[in-house]
Amino acid sequence: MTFTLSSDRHINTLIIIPHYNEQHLDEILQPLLQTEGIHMLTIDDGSEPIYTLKKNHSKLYKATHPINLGQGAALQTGLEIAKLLAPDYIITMDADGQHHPDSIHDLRSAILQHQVDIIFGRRDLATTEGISILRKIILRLGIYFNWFYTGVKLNDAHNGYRIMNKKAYLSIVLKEDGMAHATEILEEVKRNKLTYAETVVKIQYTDYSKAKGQSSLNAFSIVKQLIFRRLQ
Amino acid sequence: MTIILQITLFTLGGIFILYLQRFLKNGLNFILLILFIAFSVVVFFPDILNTVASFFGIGRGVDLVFYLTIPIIAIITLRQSLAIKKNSEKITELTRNQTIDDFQKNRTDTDK
Repeated sequence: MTFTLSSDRHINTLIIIPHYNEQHLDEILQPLLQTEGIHMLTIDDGSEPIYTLKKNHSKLYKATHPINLGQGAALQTGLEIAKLLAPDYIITMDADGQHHPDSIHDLRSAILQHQVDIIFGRRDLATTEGISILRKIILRLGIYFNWFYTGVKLNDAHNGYRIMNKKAYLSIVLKEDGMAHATEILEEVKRNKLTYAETVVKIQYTDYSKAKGQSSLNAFSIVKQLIFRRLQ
Repeated sequence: MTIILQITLFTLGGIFILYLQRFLKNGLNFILLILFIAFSVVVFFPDILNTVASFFGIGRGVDLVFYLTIPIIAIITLRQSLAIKKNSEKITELTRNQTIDDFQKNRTDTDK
């Protein structure tokens, strides 16, 4: 199915935020809407009840899944809409407030400096506060698993804070609806021969974000989904 | 008495196979036919199962059937999971198309 959208507005950076049953999305959007050169696209992944953003802004686009599909599916919907809006860059961001808005500047600087197609944000596991020891172990194992599974070696696993250029977002296609998309995106980088680098981003853990976030045990479910992918 | 039981088992097995054939494609129908023939042989010549089991170093025929059942069930479960995933992908695609369609309709023309 082909979609067309006429627009003569040039968008430098589009931030895509998939969200599901989030309670503080308006507070997260507030500082971002004031940032120069930034437009926002929120994808409501079938929240119950549907989340009605208090804000309306000319730099804010909204889309809603009628049913909950998963973060991966919501992100791919965001990428499809981005193809219509044609920004120069896309930043993907979580909706639970963990991704500090200050790092937007770091991501934009890094992609210009390194001249690559995609910059992955990475936590500095040694200094980031609020991560349990078990979580650190799971993340380290995740790094090695991703390397083994995709051939892409990063210093963080499943960090949703990333920036990509037009070549990247036009070529990446995510088919994993759930959290395995974060590994699938590395496969897509490899498949499309995209250049990549990493930059440190600021992650802030709050009681809300920790309660909302993935359980460490989810890692086994993600591995199972990835093994199934190879069998298809 | 034994022959009555054997004929009953053979008939029930045949009816079940004929019922399953309505839902399966040609390749699987062929496998089903092979399984039914093997089942029929075992029903009328039960000692053959012990002979086959001994050939593989397994004590009893029943044990052989048990060991074979596990991978067969695993394969069936895997195929079903993959079929479910395929349907899930179709649902995702339909949902995404509707979402993008609604996005275009609802978007006010503030860009121009």
